[in-house]
Amino acid sequence: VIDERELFERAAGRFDPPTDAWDRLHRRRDRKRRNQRVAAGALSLALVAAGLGVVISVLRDADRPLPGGGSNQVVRPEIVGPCFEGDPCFDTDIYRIRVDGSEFARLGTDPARDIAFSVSADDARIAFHRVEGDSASTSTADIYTMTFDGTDVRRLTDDPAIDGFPAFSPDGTQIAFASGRAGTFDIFVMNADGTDVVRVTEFQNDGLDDLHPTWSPDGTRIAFIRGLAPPGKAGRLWVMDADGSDGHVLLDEPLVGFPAWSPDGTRIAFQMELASETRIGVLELATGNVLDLGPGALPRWSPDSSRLAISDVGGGIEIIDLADESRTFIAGSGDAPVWSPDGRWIVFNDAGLTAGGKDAAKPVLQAPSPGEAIAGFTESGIPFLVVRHSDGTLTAVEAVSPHLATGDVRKLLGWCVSSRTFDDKFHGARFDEFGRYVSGPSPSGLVPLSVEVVTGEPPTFRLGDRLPALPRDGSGQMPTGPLCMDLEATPLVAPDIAESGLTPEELAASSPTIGSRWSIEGTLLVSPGGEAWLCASYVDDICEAGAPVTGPIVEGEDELVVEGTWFVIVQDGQLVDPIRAA
Amino acid sequence: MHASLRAVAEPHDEGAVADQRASFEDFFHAEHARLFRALCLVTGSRQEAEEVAQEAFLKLWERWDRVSGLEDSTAYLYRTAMNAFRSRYRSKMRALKRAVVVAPATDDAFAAIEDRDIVIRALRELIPQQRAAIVLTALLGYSSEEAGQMLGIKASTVRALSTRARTTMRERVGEAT
Repeated sequence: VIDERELFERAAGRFDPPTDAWDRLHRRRDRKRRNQRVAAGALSLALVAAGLGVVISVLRDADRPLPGGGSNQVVRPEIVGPCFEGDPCFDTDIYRIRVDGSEFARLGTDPARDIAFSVSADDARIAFHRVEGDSASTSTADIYTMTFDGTDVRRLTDDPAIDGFPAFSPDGTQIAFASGRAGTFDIFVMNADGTDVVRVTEFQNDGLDDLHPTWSPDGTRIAFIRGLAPPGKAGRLWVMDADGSDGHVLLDEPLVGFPAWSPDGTRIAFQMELASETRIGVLELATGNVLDLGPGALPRWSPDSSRLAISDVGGGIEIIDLADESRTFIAGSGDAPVWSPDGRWIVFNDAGLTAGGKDAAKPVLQAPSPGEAIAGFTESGIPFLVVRHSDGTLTAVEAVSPHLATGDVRKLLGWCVSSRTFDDKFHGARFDEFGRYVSGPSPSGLVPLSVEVVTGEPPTFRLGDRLPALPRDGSGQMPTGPLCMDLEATPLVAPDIAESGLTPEELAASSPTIGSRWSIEGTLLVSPGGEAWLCASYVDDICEAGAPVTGPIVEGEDELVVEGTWFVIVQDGQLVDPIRAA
Repeated sequence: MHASLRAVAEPHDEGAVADQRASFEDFFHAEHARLFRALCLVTGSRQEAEEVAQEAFLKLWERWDRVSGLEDSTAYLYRTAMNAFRSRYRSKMRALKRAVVVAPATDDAFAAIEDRDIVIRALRELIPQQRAAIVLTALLGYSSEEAGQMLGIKASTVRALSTRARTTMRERVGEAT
């Protein structure tokens, strides 16, 4: 008698590992870092020179490729297709999230790309720039403000050149911004209502851009970035009096961007290119020391100067506590975080939430009512749903479908849904009894989608029966294409229950309760509506090799008549009735 | 105010970084061969196994400051590898819509590699999900609960898959011997 483990050891031993694995891993890591650097550089370039934020999600995409290699695309059912960077439908809007993650709101729905940069200390108005146009050559941007609720949107500048990076003065009466109206970018200051625009940087015509203004807390000076116009990357950190006098370099490092003067006046945080990586630096004004806080971009101070909100390299938002440099992850998707004056909220912008969707009448995290679900992607790109059952309970489920590869959430909803506990960063997202988001690492990336979630007992049926209901997407269409099997339902093989090692209770627990899915070991033929697929083999819950079957199908020849909505099972070449567990 | 300017510093604790790297390298050399061999059985392909192993190790390396503190970083490695394995197979499915041949999968690299070993031949009969379950439990000695966590499925499902795999393999091995 040969021990089973010994057999496996022997089999495994036939495979000698490659001797250069460690070197290959090194090269792979270097390659990935290079890609990240390219993306980080593209962020600065895009913000400054190519239309102020058109490609603001590049960091996310570089570090976290989603299925299909696309961007963080989430599609609403009513929209024709996903939007990618550069598409006319690509959009960024402004959101706010409580620092503890307990509340979340979308503040705008304009089809132009809105990016917030400052919140006034007195009345918490949000200053943002709005980019219009679909390419770098045609894009323009102007400065706007709105209330903290996203209402009362006021346009402050109306110049054909790019006006961007607005920064409220500490007393809220003025806004500094950068504008290209004089050829290269210069710093301008205007009243908070857009009047009395004054150009304050008028250095020699040396072709340098002046960008990213930030006020000293006493309002007497402005720090900014001064760098080469082409290629539009960040430059050196400068400071000047608020009227433009006494301008001089403050930090002689050439690749610094987005400075933020701490409210206590002692430090200036910024992003910097260090060892070809975008990192957060903090300049201590009293000593000239620069503290390196690690990877990140676009730092902004909390009102008490104890923390920094940053865009992390994964395309999300983190908070760094300066006391111990610890990081807290608060949103999986988003850029350019800005604190509210009371320190309770972070305002940021995000594209993934709105890609393709302009209808934001409903809040992003609206409670899913029965028959609805919230869909999103976990950090590693696994699509999931939060569904509300008829009894009011909520379940987070993983959505698995061939269509995830194309980001077409419509087609995966209600189909191929299996219960699963998430171990990604969305794990732990909690919802209250009304389905409202309560807490969790990030609600960002979630979009309400209307789907029909079939609840209750899975339908039982026999060959030739018409199923009473099948999952449909928001438009009422049946999913098409190759189908999935439910991992949990895989062992549903009645004749072999005893041999399968499952107790009846385990079988019952494995019975699907969401959607109507059945899987039988062996070959599976499924017709979700007009199209049948014969699955010859499957991997995980995915049909790995199959083909559509059409036309008259005769029992015994792997063929069946496909008409309407049917589930048909072929096992070992023979048609069998679906068998329900328990 | 003029600050006295200094060059931007590299991360403060270079020693700690070096220690981290050395620690990870030790871990890599200790675990790579075993993981690679297990993945060969699971994926059926030496090339696929190395790709998955590289992907898993790279992820751990990027998170090593946290992973190294885990009670069982090896289990974390296998879990990451199994996730990578699942993701890769899901990706393969993108091409499925173009599939027109109704036949068992022909891309199973077991057909192209070691064909002499009876166990390997028997594994060819299994679906990859079953392979993963039985390799994790029978070869690597993980419990159904642990394997279930790695594969993202229930322990009961692991048991069922393993049982089914065992039955099939027993038949094939029996036939061959």
